[in-house]
Amino acid sequence: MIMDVFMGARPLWAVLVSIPAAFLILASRNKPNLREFWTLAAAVLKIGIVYSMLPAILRGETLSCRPLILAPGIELFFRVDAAGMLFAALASALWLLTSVFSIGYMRSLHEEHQTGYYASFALCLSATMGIAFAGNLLTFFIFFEMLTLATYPLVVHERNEEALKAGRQYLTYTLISGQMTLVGIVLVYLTAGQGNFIPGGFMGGTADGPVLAVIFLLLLAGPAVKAGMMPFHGWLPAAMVAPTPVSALLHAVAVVKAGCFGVLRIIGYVFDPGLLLEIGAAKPLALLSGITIVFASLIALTRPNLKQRLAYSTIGQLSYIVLGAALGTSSALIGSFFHLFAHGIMKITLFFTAGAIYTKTHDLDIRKLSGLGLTMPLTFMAYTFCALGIAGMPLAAGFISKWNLLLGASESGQWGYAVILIISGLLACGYLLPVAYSAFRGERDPDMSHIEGEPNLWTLMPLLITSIAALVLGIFPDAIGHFYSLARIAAENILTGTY
Amino acid sequence: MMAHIPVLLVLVPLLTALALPAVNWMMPRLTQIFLKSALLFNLALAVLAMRHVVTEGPWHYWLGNWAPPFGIEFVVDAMSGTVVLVTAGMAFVIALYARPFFKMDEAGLQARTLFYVLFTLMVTGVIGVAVAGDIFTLYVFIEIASISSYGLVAMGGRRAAFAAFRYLILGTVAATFYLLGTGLIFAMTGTLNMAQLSTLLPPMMGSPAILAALCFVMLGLGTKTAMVPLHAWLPDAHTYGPTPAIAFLATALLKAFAYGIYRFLYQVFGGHGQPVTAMALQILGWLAAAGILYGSVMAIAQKDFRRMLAYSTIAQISYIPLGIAIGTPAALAGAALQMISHSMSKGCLFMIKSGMHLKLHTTQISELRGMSVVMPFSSLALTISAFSMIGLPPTSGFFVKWQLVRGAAEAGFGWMMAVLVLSGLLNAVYFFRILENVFIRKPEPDVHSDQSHGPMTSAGPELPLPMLAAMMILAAGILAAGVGSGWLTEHIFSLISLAGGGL
Repeated sequence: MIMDVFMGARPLWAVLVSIPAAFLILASRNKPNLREFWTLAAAVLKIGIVYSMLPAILRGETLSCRPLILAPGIELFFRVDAAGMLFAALASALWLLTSVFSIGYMRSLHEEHQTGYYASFALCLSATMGIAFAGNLLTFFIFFEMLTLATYPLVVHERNEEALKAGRQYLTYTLISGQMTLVGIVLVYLTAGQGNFIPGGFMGGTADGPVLAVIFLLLLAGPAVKAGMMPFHGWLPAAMVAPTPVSALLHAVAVVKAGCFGVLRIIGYVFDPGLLLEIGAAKPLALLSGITIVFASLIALTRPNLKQRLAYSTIGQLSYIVLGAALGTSSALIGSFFHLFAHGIMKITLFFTAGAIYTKTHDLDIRKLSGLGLTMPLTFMAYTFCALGIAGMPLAAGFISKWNLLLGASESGQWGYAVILIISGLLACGYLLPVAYSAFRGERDPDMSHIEGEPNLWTLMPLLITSIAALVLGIFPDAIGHFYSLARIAAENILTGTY
Repeated sequence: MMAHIPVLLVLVPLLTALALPAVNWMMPRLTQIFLKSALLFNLALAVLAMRHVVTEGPWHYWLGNWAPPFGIEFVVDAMSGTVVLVTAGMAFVIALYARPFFKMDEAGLQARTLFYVLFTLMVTGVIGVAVAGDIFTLYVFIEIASISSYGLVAMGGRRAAFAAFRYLILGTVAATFYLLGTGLIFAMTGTLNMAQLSTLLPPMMGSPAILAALCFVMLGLGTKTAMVPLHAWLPDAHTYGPTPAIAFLATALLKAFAYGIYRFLYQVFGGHGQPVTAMALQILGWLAAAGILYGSVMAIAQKDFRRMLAYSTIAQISYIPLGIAIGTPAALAGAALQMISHSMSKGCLFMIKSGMHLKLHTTQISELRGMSVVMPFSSLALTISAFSMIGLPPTSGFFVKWQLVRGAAEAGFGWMMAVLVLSGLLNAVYFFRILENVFIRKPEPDVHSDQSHGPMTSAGPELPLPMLAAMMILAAGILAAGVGSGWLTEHIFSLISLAGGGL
């Protein structure tokens, strides 16, 4: 009996488990080891809960629970479907790895304010699970805003003027766009009478085309800003002042992916790709994401700092996901969903390597990194492999998503986007590979001559695990966690309109 | 006894106020226990009254069993029950806070008993305003509440005396307007009972006398609620008055007057069903929107946390008239939730303000750097209250905004949605500026290190336990009201009567 109640409310536990962890972390601020234990324990527990739901989802079922009423006729509604599962499985797994990495990183750099850091981190993950499992728009929005708030302390972690400025910029972008999304959600409830996510959408025929287009724009504002769509991407490179594990979490998993996931939810579960074409929103959205892909890659070429390059690379890569959703064919949607995962695991490796290098060099200027590959072969090999993966090389996870996106572009007959994707891959080689090349073949910078050996094990292990995962999943995309099946089921759901 | 709860709600604080000096004279040690148990008893009565409303509908109580229009009628319904609950709850929490506050306050407030007497009188007045069933009884209670509040503001020291005087003049003018309106209504209809007025007035709505009465009553209540442009008395009074008094003034007292506006427009003048009243509601909506924007912009301009709170009150209190003006069930639920939400968050913020003053010896926003180190619990409460003010989930402020935006959308007021959204963002500007100082910026090392009472040298506990407890109760309440807002809306606010005058 009690067990049934517990099992039935698993989506809720998955969301809640890191909230007490945050308080325990705050309470044990004077005992670093105990504090880190809480983080790891909560992360493991979360993974356990999330993955225990995986078999049911793979069978095509959904799990739901409705613990509370939020407003008349609107419940706090969690529903785990393939799309949500994909995101939650990714985020919870990477939280554990990022936590391990953080311990190595923060301790070797003797960072201050670590307690607040781990507590915010835990809250972030809670919000991310809420976003992944949200079954209606209001629930989604509540966790979406909580994510903004929980990441703010992480962005301003360094406590200097630059960080504060980045924090203000972050809040300005996300809060303003969030309010627009709120208005959009209210309008959805008003026109459609409900806001529960339904695969294939529920907005069709509820209002005239232009009205739907306005609602779509308002709804999309929040997720698009978090997904770093140009011209609303300004906060993302600025937020790079945060410590590297934060950037890894923010720019590979939680925040930006929450934005992409929101875009997918809105396009696939509130509207549908066909309706989007009808109201004339699909083409401009695809165009905007195409422009973002090219421009972000071009800007990345000009940045001398590795983290800045990764930030712009992220902006470009995220728009792959938006592009796939806007194209809306079966392959494009599979590509979109899988890229959510593939980009997450590859980009987090790149950020991990950047962080690991930083713990040794205290500098991320690309010219200074020359020649370090010989003393840190494992780190730079992981970097190189994932850089190639970002560019879309076969055998890496990134290839699977890119291949599907290319198929999607051809299915929809919009060949221009296939060209853009290929150009983007070449540009990615252009901005990521020179670092690897000079690291292995270049001369040592005199300032860096004292650097010897790999970074410590806490930072090295996570990045090796993620890069190996990127390799294994590039060859067997359905191997660990069945991410490819999840992406396929999610795309099928949207196109057939049923769970 | 259960049958007499509506009158007991008023009598308990009244008798407490009257008995307090005697208790204090005979058994000074028991004063606090007496006061707190009376207020706690009153809170229990308020809860019971609300339960009665939920299970059995609005409660009409005839004093001495005299039927209106001859006798006095008390009415507890969903909206007035909410006001009563907020008032009784805030009164108890503030009483908890007041004693250690006066012990620590350097100003050394001498007339503490007088403070508690005036405070309980004000509670009497506010609850009376909420439950009064006729418009003259309402006037009496408005004046009980107002006059005791003038006295309370004046207790804050020299600058407060002048602010209180200004408040007194404007408040009395407002009360006179209200009385004029009451007189006109009585002259035209021959009754003062609200329920009877609601049937007698509609055919007369065209008459200039009733129109004048409507204007006078709204002018009076509008001034008391500090609606723009009748707000001029508020910033000074709320800046210089003693904190426990202001924490009540800015929360329960203003709510009671805002409730008065609802009561008159919907239950006496017929709401949106009457063209004249609909016009009045529309003007109310514009003024409320103006108040929201004016208060928020002025709050951004302030350097002193106290004054910022005062202007923020002008902005936040206007949410209630805005919800009333929109007039859909969702909007009124939002207005009622705002009564609860804003009372808790603003009450909490005022308590934190005093905590800052006692512990850090400053309320200047720029000098709050590093506050989170010295006062972690206050800083946590500050964060939660600030989030509620901005309207961020999961605090109650978010659900207020949700209900109001939804109501505005249903009624087709696009510009009100814009105002609400903008207001949230303006609130974010001034609250995040404070949070930045409290949590993130490092204190400047040299400013205070040579002073014995500098912020960073303050050792010892954060604040006395009852003060912290009061803040934490309110902060927890904000979260609980947020999570439970759906329950509140479904079980209580859905009973709010629009008397056929809704949109």
